[in-house]
Amino acid sequence: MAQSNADVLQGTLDMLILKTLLPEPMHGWGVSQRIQAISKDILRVNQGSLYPALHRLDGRGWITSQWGKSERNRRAKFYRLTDRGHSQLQTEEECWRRFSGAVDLVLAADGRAGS
Amino acid sequence: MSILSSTRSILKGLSARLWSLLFRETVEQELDEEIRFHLDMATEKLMRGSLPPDEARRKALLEFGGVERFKERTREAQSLPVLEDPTRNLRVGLRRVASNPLHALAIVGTLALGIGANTAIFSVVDTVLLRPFPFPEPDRLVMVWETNRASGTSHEPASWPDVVDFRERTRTLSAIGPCGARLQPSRREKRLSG
Repeated sequence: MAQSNADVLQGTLDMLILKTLLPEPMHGWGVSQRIQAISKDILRVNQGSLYPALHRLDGRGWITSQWGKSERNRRAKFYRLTDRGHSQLQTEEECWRRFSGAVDLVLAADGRAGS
Repeated sequence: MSILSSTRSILKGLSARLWSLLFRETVEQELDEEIRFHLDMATEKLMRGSLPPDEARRKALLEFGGVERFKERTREAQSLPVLEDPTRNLRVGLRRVASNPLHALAIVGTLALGIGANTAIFSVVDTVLLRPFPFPEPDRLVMVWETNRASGTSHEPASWPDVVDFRERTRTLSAIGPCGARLQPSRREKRLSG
């Protein structure tokens, strides 16, 4: 890959956040770090879009927020997936798989027409 | 998604926005605290990578990419645009004018020219086309000119005796009156009447 890391593709950030919050509630910093770690540093979440996205998802009722204590006993805002967020995540995952599968098919085609 | 649940989600979003509008102070504070937490964590991480503290802080801020811009965007995501947009837009507008007066001047000039041209054209259209002619039954009104047979020039003004003749002998028109009359007899009129 020419670029060592990529900004998260527009439109996929919401899905990645929901997915990251699936196992346990987490604060914004945690979300950004986990996405980066799981993607082996390839995906890098732009902080300037992370928090607006979190607040947007909160507004849509897909996640809720609550103040709590961080690992090192600091006050931090934790986000938790709601039931509706859960089903939203399933929908978005399905959509994404269909989409990326289709893109793969196109890229895998060897230039000969038909099959 | 059923209609009920989508309505519920709209209501929830609306109430969150209303909440943030009413308790803006608290919301701002929470936002500040959330960012501060994030920046602290980022700074710590960079310091573990053996950067000096102030350098780490600077880099963390840089990576965050504009704290004010981000706060603006977050506020947008949770605010009621209809209620607070006017004042905010006004503030942003004034700030832009102050930061780039030449650009603002060009825009104001363009608008002024546009409005001026429009007003000028409209006042012509208004008097010529839109306003009714200031006479009763304007469709029966005609203007009579004379034609000079010798020189072939048309649209000549009539002399007063001609006007009197026309008025007495006309069968086509119900009345004739002079308009734009020159009361001082000109040389030509003198010659005609002589």
